[in-house]
Amino acid sequence: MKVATVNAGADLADPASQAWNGVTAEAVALAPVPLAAQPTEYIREAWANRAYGKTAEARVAAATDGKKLYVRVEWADDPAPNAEFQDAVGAVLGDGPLDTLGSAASPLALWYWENGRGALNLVSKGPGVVTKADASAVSGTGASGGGKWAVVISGPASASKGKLGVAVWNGSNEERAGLAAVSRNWLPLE
Amino acid sequence: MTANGTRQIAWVYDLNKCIGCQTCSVACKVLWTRDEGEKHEWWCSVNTMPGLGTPKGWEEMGGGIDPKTGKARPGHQPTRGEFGGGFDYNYYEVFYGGTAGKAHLEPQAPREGRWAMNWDEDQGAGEWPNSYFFYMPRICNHCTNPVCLEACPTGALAKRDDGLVLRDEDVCMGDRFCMEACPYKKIYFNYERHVAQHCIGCFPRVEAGVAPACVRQCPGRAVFVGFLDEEGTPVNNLVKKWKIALPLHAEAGTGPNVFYVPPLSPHRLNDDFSIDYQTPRIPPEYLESLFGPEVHTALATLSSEMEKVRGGGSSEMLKTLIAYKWQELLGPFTVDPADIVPTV
Amino acid sequence: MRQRQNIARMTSQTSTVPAYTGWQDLYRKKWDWDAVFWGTHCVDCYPGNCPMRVYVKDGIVWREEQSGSFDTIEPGVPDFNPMGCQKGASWSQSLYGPDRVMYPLKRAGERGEGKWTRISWDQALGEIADSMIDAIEEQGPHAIVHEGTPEMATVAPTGRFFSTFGGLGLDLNGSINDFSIGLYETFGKFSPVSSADDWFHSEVVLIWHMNPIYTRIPFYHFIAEARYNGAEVINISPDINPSHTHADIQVPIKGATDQAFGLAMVQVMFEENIADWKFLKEQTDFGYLVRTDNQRYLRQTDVEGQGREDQMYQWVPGQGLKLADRGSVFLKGVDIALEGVFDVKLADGATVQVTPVYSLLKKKLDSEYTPEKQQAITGVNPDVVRTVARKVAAKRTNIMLGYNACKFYHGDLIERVQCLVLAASGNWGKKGTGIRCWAAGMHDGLFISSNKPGPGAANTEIVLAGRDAAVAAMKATDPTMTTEIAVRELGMLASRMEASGGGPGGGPTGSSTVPAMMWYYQGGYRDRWNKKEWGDESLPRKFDDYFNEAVEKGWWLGMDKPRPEEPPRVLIECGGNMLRRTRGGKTALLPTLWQKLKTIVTIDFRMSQTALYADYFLPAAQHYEKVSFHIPTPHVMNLTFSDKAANPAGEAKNEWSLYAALLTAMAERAKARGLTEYTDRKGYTRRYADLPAYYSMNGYLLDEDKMADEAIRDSALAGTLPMGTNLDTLREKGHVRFIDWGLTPMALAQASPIAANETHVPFRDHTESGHPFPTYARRAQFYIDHPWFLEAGEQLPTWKPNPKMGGDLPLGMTSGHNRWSIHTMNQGNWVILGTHRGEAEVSVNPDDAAARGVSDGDLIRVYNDVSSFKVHARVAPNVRPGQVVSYNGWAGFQYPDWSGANEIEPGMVKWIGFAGGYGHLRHLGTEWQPVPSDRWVSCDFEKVN
Repeated sequence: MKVATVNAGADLADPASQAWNGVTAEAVALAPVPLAAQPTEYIREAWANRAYGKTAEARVAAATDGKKLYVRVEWADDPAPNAEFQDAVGAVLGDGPLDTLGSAASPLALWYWENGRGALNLVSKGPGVVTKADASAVSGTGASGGGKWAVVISGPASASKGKLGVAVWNGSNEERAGLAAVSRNWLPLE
Repeated sequence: MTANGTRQIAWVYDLNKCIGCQTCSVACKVLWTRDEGEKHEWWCSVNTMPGLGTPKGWEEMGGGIDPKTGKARPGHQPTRGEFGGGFDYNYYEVFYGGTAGKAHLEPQAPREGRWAMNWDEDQGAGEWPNSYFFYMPRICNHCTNPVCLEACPTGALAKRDDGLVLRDEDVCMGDRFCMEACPYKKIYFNYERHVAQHCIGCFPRVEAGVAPACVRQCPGRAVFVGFLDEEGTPVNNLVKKWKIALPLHAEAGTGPNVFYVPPLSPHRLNDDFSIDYQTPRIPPEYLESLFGPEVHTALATLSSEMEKVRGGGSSEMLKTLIAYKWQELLGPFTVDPADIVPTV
Repeated sequence: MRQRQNIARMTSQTSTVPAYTGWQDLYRKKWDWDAVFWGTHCVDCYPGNCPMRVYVKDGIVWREEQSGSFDTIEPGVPDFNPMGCQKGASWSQSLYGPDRVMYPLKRAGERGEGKWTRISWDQALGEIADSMIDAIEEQGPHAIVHEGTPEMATVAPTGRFFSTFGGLGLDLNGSINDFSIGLYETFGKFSPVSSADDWFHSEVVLIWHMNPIYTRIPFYHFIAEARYNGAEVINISPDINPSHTHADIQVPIKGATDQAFGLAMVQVMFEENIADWKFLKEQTDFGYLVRTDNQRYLRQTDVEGQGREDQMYQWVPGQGLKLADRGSVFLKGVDIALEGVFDVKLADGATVQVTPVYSLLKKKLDSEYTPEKQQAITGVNPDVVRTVARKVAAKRTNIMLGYNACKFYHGDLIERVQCLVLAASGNWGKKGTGIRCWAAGMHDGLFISSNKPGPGAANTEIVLAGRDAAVAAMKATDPTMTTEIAVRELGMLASRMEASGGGPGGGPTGSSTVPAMMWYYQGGYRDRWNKKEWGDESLPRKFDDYFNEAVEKGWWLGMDKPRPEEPPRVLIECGGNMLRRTRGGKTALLPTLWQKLKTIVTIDFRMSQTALYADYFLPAAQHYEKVSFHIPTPHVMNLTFSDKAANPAGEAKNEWSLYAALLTAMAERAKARGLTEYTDRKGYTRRYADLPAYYSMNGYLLDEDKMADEAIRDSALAGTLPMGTNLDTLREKGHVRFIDWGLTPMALAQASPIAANETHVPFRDHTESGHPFPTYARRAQFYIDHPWFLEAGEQLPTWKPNPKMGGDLPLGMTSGHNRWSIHTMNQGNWVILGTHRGEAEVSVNPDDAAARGVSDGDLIRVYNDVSSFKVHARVAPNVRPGQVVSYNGWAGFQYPDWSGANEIEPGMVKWIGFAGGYGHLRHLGTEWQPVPSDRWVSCDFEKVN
């Protein structure tokens, strides 16, 4: 995936910004993180007969202003209300098993954004197996409307040369932790 | 003490002494849950039984361990509405708003479907004059098989050497599988800080030799704390030796470490209002649903000891429950917090 | 205060900027403090006296915790620890809570409109002082009234403030009616109180007009522990109230029929010959002879034509008349008749027949109150009556009586019957027995220190010597008087001096009155009380006839005020809450008294129902912000100290300095207006300029520590606290057990020795030493031959139907203290609000609710012919059909339209309460006086759509 280079003055942090008009977005197919990979027996038992990772596709775009890498993700918003869980999205970076959001041996960076909670900088060692890293390195902004979510997550520009994956959590379906839809393939950034 | 050096702090609540005053709940709240996002959290709570309690209908929310498969059983995550409470009030409007009585002090939340920690207080069951109820305090059971710990994907929960099940709030991601898995529904979610929270067993106090607030502040002298394995202590005697203190919903399979001396109740009245000496008000089958079939033996043991004393006899068991000296309730945690004085 | 910087085992680091060491240390740091103080909640929480530790962080009260610091008193009896409750454990949360008021306020709109302006202390005090001066100049200082409070930190300064300028105080107990009239009528005192640990000695606990699971949270364990020690617990109540939970037997009695149940128990005891005959012959008037021609006692004046009118007779078989010993209840080996009819020749030559009280009682019981006959009244199965009666007769029995029976219209009859049950079974004056109301006293130093001419032990000795001389002089008038009786007589003398002018100490005093008089003359209650259908319809005359007779006979001389022609002008509420407290509430008072008041001032630390209808709000210090003590009580037997843990928040002032500032403002305003002095109705002249210095004893009373220290030392000098006790020793220990009763009537009413290693049970002087009771008859008096009692057919305890107070409606509203608040205190506490539904409520039976289309939680309107209020319904199967339970304590502003449950209470006063001129039935402050009733008020309810 091409990382667009944009002038330093552009407001890439805003998903509604004009700056994103010129950046090509790719349709990315998503698949549920495998049940067998879920980290605890409880989660595997509780979700054995329950669908998750319901978001099938996202449109992903990437841009940099030289300082930061901005990832814009857009997907269909499930309109079902849920007061407990929020929709969320993550940009997955690094080198490791994407389908399980990393592993203990090969952790991945997860730039995570959740509606109402903002952005978190996480290290993901498996589905939902995350630890917190320097929070200031990552930020995000999201907006919903017209049946869609559009979220921009950003982090250090140094990530612009690696591989990108995205994960989406459908809060209406109580998706959180490893109960996500994750891109089927890495998107090499260039 | 187990072979690996771990022990288990346990609580015994005597439901024949608990008066539902909520001092334990309040002591806990004032000490621990006054901060951001904690207004609705009552790590310790007391409910009128039978009742829907807190969270509303918790006994029907699943969780625990399936005795057949030994596997964690799916459960419902209690919602903010099911916990209820934590209301804001219109103090300013009432006192200074110039409404001349049009606004009165009331929760600023929709009245329909409202619930709170002690919403069904003193309602109970049955029909007058044979209506009945009793009070039951609940805290985290600091289980021997903490299914919350098992359910957590981030490893935020751990069982310490003293048996307390504690949560590393830095590691907790607020995924809330613990809340689903806990069969007692005694874990809360802090919606401001995005972490789950539960009774911490007053570990800072326990570490300093001070009893947990819910124990030390219980004016009913209804709760004992101590190490379960320490022979000769009230907790050990009541649970292991005399077997009159029973776990709640043991069928949930998590090995709870909070035990209850089950409640006696006044005799039922016949239709002509004479006394039916054979029948307690609280249906034994209801108590069995809470404490298992052992409840019948426990109540029979307790009753026969009481008869013995009424007949002039003596009972070690009842002397233990009396707890002539308050400190007997505190187990090894007898330090007075006010005596913790400067060390530097 | 204890300072601390660190906790052992908590952290080894001492750096000033603590590094983040993880989540565990965050919790450890939550449990951290700079200083610890002793505290308790010096409000009308009775018995209270829970010693707490108040933990302070950065000058802010952070939390509190029970101290658990009591020693075992009696070996083999559980200790008191850890006394406290949920309210006390969250008192800190109302200290800085949203209902706290921290600045002086002045009403901006109409009274009750809820509009306020913050003003300066100077403006507030200046304006209030001007209105007080206006009242004094135009009418006299008695036109300035206050209602009173038992709150120790408030009652002393308020009392001194009012006596400084000569204002009028209402007898507090007459307003709140925690007055067990039936105990008073029986014993000549209503205040026997066991120490709570004595409950452990009981073998039968009759919970009867009490709900200790709500109202005795710190002490309930003694009942539970007594049960484990072999006691049986029997709960007698119309509803299956919370105190049924740990009972063995629940007796669901029809409301207001307890007299019949108790009388039937006594019938059983007599019938089955299981009564304690020796006990009742000595302790009671059962052997006293009554004339059959006029139903009055046979008196010495009848037989001898001279002598004492209150000298009665007993009958010795084979010998004849015996003068009943007024100096001792002991019969000293002489047997007396309980039955029989005897001829007696009177001084005028006539012969009359006489018969003992017992035989009259026995006849009454056998004809009206067999267990079978009582069932038609009470609904209680006869077997239950017999079962309970036999247990009570055989075992040490304790009646757990709250201040509930006394609030029934015929509550005095309920209590007289309860006393009768104990008398017949020999159940007072020994451990584990008795009945209770409330008592205070023992901390005599509080009153000595504020009544002596100046500080120091020498001045204390002057007061003590004067006091002792007064008691000795009173005793000299009648050698049969005990100290207890002499002190009560002195109290009654003070009441009469109120009429004749001058205070007992010779200096200026305030004035006091019986609240019922104020309600009658100024509050519009005359119309209500004259409604015969709301009162005792069996009476031959109407209320005003009795009232006028009482006034004309001078039974209320000095208390018959404020008269219609002298309406109060200024009301100063300090600790009171008239619109919340008064039966009838704003429905009764806003159109009447409120119209007459030119200025209404509330002094409080939090907003109240009365404050919302006041003109000024002056912010007071909260309990953790001043030095004080709890109300000392035999329940606990300790003086419990509360320290100033933090400075008053905002601009709040403690009451001592607040009143000093107000008097200074009065002096300044009077000077500016060219006024120098005034003379009160007693003829005492006061100079405005002298008021501040007089009030504060030239400043001495303004130093909280000095004042407390002086009071403690004075109690030690008076002999009620151990020698050497002072403020420093209390600051160290927090509380100290009393070693003697002192000389207040309520403490002396205990009539028992006091021992360091024994529980306290009252009346041992009566049972062990034969001391006479302070009644007309000098024994526990079950036959009252006052003409009004005879006219009412209440000379003996009896059952009468509860009047349909408020109208002929199918339901009855009862009340009682709730679990969640101390009166309204804590109703606004955010933590406490989270422990219940957080809204005002009444409990109703499911069938009654269904019949009216009401479901749990619905808003309903509860109404009767007086008024109505709206409230949420709690539908609960423990409520008796026909009963509406409105636990009290909600503030009016917690109900729609700020109209609470007291709005439908007519506030009826039983006319017998106006009786006087008969032995102990003479006015005595706090004690004998008419009081309002409010239980089982007629009502109905409907759903509000």
